[in-house]
Amino acid sequence: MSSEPRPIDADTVLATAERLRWEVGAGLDDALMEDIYSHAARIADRAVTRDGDTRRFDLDRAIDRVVTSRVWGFPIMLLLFAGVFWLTISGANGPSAALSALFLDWGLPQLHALASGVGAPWWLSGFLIDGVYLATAWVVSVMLPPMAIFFPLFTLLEDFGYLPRVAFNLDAAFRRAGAHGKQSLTMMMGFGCNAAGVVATRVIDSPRERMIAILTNNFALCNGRWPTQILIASIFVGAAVPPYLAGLVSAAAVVGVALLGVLLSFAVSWGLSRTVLRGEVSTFSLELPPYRPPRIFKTIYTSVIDRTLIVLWRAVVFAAPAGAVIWLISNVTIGDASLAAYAVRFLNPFGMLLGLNGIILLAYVVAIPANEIVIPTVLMLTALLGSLSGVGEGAGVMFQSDNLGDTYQVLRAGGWTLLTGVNVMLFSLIHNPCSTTLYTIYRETGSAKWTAAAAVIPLTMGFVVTFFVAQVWRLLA
Amino acid sequence: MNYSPLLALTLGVVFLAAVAAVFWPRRGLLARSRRQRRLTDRILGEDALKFLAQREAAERPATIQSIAGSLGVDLNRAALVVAGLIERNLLSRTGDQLTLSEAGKAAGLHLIRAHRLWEAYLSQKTGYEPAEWHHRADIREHDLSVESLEDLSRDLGYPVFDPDGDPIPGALATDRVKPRGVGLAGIASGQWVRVSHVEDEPPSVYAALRDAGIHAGLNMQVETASDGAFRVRVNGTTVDLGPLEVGNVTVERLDVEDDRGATIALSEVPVGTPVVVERLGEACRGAERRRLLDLGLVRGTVVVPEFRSPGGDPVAYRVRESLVALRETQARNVRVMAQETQEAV
Repeated sequence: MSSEPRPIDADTVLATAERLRWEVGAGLDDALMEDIYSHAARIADRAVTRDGDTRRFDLDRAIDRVVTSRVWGFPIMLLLFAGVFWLTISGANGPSAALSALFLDWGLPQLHALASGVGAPWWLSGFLIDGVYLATAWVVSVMLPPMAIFFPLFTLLEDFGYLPRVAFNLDAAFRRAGAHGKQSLTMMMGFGCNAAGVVATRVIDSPRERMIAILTNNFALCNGRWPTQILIASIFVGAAVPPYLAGLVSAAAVVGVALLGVLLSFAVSWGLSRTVLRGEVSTFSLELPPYRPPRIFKTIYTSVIDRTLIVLWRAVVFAAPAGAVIWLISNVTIGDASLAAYAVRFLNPFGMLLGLNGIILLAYVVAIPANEIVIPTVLMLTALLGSLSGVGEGAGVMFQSDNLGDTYQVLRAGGWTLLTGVNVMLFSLIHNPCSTTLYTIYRETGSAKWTAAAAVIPLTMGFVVTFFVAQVWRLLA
Repeated sequence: MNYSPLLALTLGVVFLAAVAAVFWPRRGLLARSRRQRRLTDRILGEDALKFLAQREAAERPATIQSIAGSLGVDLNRAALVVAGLIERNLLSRTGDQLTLSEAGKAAGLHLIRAHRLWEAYLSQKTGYEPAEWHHRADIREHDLSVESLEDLSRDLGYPVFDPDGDPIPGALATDRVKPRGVGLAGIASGQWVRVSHVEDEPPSVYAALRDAGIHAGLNMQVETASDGAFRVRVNGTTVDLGPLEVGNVTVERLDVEDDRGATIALSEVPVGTPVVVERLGEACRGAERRRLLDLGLVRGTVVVPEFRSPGGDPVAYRVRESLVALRETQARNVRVMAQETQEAV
């Protein structure tokens, strides 16, 4: 009965394998993989015992039913975020003023005294103190307090487990734009700082949606641009209406610009997902982790270290050379004019077309590292090039008066109109991200091409928007 | 020239319109001229070889007229293309009969292989919609060398079929070009079949079949097959098919009834009802399929829809102690059964 194992020749084996591959059809790989997964799941179910904590589970569901309900979901969300913003703005005022007093009002004269004490030449102390030090100190005092409040609050909400529910609630809107619900979170983060927002896109694990979130984060009006918006809105938009409406209208203008940013980020997401990013792999997954009491101290520690300080460090690294450049273009002269004067003369016609002016464009070029120093640079250049007597601190020394009236006078003397104000607000929203953000985008995407796209897309849009606003405005006015 | 806002505005609009006219995706001048330039003699010749190889596999002789029709060029151009191929000894002509030489056949099979492998690549590794696979592969097939196809095939795990069920020549020692199975039109009422191939041309018919939920690998039952009407039962819903659609589907008969038809889509399960996962739909591939498997959506897993988002989509599901949100388009691809009918595992 026993049969000798018969040697089978290789060709027969190959032919059989071939026939079988043909006969089992296309679904084999998938079926096999699915079987392996379900087998593993069965083994795990047999081996692992779980103690069900249903009470805890029911509490979670009760919270979920409220925070994701049709009626309460959005009001709760708005209330919480309004609270976070209010705490950030009101809480940051004091520390910002204190830091500014320390670094600028006290530190700057001290450093100058020290420099003249050791007999440093004017150009060296100007370059180092009025250029490098001033820009760095400015960025730190404006940027640090709001970030040190905003990020921990945001992280607390995250730690509690609420933020994934926000992504869940808003996913329908983002889905229509071809994006991921979690983009709502990175956008929120972008209101604090775009660089931090770009880092936060790591939570989106689908390549296409992550790239969309990175490229559109810039449309969330960041911490460095809020002060510009508020300043320009109060002195130009507020001044254009009766005094009793001034506060309301200028606040509405700022909120309007921020909302326009949200709208644009949806529009650009939609466009990107239907054109250049169409072929990228897109998968959706959103886990809703159980709620848990936030670990307050750990959260504050990690958010200050991981987010605030890293972002701040990058900003400082970029702000210092910007300060140097700003000082140099104002002080290095060829013939009888400074480099800044040449640049402004060259940029002026172009700026005029956009309803801006050469000084504003130059300020945006040299202040790429940080949006915080755009307005101080504009003020310095306006005072310098307009030869306004009694205003400003000197060539290359940025300044900003606490008195709105003074600022208004300087800008009026520089030829600003209501149109200039409106277009500065628009351009401040719609232009290339700061270099800190661009560097972060490069680090996150590893691609020079996408980094360039992140700069060129909003910059082009900014030119188009301000150009058309200017022409229509002048036609109607 | 003096500045005037009206002039600037007009120039601005004209400039934007010009930029749009040049760069507009697919309809702009740039895209059009690129498409035009693509129709070189080399590409037309290769397309002709591919067409002839397909015709020979189907044992349907090809003429210059049918080549012109397939390539979308006039007879003159087609004749020139054919003359070029004959000159290069890729093709011979006796009377009206065009026959590929060995070299011509190899070139044709290489193109078919490139086309189908690229479709497999698009379906597994990119996010392009099924409707885009075919025309993208039509462009890409001309740029792929024999070596790069080897690499591609290895990266994809040596697939034997493309996503629509067409065999990939070169995957097996014998070159097969025709799909397995028989036409759906010849199947009698009540018969269970497995879809082995869905033709992806013309696009409108392909889109109609996709919308009806019919794709390669699907099991379905023919409900009514008479001259006037063709009705199939797909995953628990009844679908009417037109004659063009029926003609573009190839199937294999199944001996047994496939009770997998009793499953419903997870997206249709009401909130609070526990169900058991049966399998993932065949239309869900690549990264998306792995993602769902990773989440634990495998045969035998109990899933409960817990609550909906304010807009109704996505929905949060409880899967193995964790809460996961899925969009409607994903949940549609998870086939589940009511918990009672599941036999004990």
